[in-house]
This record gives sequence, C-alpha cells and structure tokens, in this order.
Amino acid sequence: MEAKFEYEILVDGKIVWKGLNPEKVFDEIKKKNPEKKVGIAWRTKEDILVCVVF
Amino acid sequence: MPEISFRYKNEESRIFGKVKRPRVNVEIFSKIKNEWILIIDVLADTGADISVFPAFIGKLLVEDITTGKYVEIKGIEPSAVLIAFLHQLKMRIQGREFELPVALADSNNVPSLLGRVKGLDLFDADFFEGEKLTLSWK
Repeated sequence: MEAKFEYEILVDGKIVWKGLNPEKVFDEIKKKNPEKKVGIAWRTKEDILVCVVF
Repeated sequence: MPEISFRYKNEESRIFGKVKRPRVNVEIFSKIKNEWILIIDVLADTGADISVFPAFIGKLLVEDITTGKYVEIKGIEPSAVLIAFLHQLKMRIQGREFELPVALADSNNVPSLLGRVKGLDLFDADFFEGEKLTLSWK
C-alpha cells in the first residue's frame, strides 16, 4: 500500500532527500553540510488536512 | 514589537485543486544531539490544543519517545485515537525561545503541528486573508 505521507530533508531550502525513514539519512546529510541549514519536513498526499487535536 | 511572517504554502488538493495552508518553520532543541533541529512547514493549527510531531521527528529530539507521559489524542473523529508521549521541549521561532509541551506521536502518519498551549498562544497571530501568517510578540 502506498504511504500517504513522506519526509523531506532540505539543505538551504532545497530538497535533497525524500522517503519514509529519515532517521539515519538526516544525520548523514547534516554532517556533510555543517555550514548549511538542514531541515526536515513532513508531507502528506491527503486531499484535506483537518487537524483538530484535543 | 518583533514579528515574523510566513507566506501560506500552496499545496495540492483533489477537491480544491490547490489549497493554501499556514505553515511555519520552527527549531526544536534535540536532547540527544544537543543542537537545534530545523523543522520545516509545521502547520500553524489553532484547532490543536497541543503541538504534535510524528515519530521520526520525535526520534531526532529525544532518546526514547516513550519516556514521556502517555497520552491519547483525539481529533475530529472521536473514535480515532492517536497514541503520543508528552515531552517538555525548547522551541525557537525567529530567535524567540520558549518551552512547551510537545506530543511526540508513536505514528509517522501524523502531521507536524504547532498548537496553542504554550505555542501559538505566546504570540499575536494574524492570519491575513489566506495569504500570510504573522507571529508577533512583546
């Protein structure tokens, strides 16, 4: 079954990796880019994102 | 008064074609890496009591997410329950640093949310005409 979400890792705002398991990749990318802004984002392919949390 | 603005993000929707969502970038201090982790495009969600992050982001922040207080989070569908663990973490947005309770989910099928408690509530939040979110503070 296709996952409805994925993670992205971005370096200075550019996507360098997409996938489902960012744990080890994030550290590797961060090490390779010590002077750059490395960030992680969660993306969904859902049509409507309704987030009410109690 | 210091402030930061985020343009709404244009995202795909089969119903609307495109939909714009208010997303912000935050940094959370990782207790295991001893550094700030940049988390991009977190949904600024006034409908969320608490901030929530999916499991793999949780694993970048704390050694073991299950060491936090066990909580069951409910949403718009009352019978659906998300298991999460509460952690007190440091967050910063544009240099403003604060501590807040964060629910680290045991699932990856959960969006990153900046909720109200000790999060959005610390700011004057201006959702401007579906185009821009400005967070300001004293």
